[in-house]
Amino acid sequence: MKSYMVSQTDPRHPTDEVLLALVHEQSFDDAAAIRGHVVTCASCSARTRELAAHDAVIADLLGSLDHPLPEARAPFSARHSGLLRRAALVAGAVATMAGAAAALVPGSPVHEWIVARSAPQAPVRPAPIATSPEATTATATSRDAAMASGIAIPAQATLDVEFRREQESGTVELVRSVPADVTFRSRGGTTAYDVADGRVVIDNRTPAEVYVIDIPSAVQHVRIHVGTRTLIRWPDDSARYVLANDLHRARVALRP
Amino acid sequence: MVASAFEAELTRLYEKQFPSLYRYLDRTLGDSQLATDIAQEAFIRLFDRGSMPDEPVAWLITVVNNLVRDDYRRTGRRLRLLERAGYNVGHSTSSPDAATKLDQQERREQVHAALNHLNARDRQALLLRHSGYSYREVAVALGITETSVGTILLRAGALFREVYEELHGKPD
Repeated sequence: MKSYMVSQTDPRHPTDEVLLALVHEQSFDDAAAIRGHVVTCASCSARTRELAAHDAVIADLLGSLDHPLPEARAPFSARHSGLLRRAALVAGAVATMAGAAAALVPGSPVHEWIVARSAPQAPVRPAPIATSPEATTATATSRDAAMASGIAIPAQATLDVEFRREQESGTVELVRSVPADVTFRSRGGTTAYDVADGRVVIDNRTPAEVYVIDIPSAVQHVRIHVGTRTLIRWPDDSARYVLANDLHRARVALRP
Repeated sequence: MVASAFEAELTRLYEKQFPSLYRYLDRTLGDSQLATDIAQEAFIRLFDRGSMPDEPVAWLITVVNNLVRDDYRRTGRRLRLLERAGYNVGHSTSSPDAATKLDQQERREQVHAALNHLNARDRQALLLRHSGYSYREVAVALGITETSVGTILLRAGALFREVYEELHGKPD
């Protein structure tokens, strides 16, 4: 039988549970005395080394499951959309608020969204969408930052969103939101927006990883497409893409 | 504006605990995106709570375990939805070559297959301990005595390794 499956039960010596607790550097009564015993006892020293080696194999196997720790971002829940949308939209301005919140841990993502929550600011707004035949174009460029601010436009019943270019990767998230405006944000890349006649064209010249579109209840239909290829029709297709852990959010890949 | 004491404490807790919580969830779910979402949801709920519980780490673990359990009830449908949408479940932010990626994915599947031979509590204890939680935190989160944590870890670790080696041979 394998050595790590046989427990040491001699009452003169610490049990395997106790030795494993030492391997795991846990604090417990008599820990110092037991360490002293292990140092002087050949069998306990050998057993501790076996348990440590066995534990290292387990740690290595479990470590193979790991994906890189993500860049932490603002909490996502739609229940907090009224506060957090503003926080995300002013992400670029958070740095200027750092001085006012010096008591908190500077630079942490939670610090930033708590600060932004405490001092809400208006979203970036382009000129209103014209109803005249002459198109009104408004652009805002998002910087390469964690969920950089984009644009906010008044909600209308039908929204057409077009990506100017295909992307090899990246996703679009649609989130049912509380505020009255439709807002566009992105993470990574350089994104420009053209707004005209109820249509938003996303110029993804340098592709972003994620595009987030907040959709208030006044918007009844959304079509997102790349050229003639439709990515999603909201709400018609949304059931296929709604996330199980957040029914207010749908996610679709940009990859053709 | 001066943040409340609770918000300051929450910030410190987030800084300290998010990596461990994410690692535990990532290893449990095999989906880094979902792990991130659930970990952050736990902190949102703590924020909503408005005050720090007596055992905040155990509280967070309990919340994420409940969320994971709820997610598993929908896992089959969720994976089909994401795969149909072309969403790369569990993608990494790094870009290894295709062969390395396949090896990594195969190893993950092998480890998950071995973990699935453990009962839920033993699996949780093993993953929590190896995500950096102390015996005390594991005990409080799982509702067991601290003295039984070592016993569970020995049993779970032995079974996990035995099953893995039977299924896939000795690890490299």
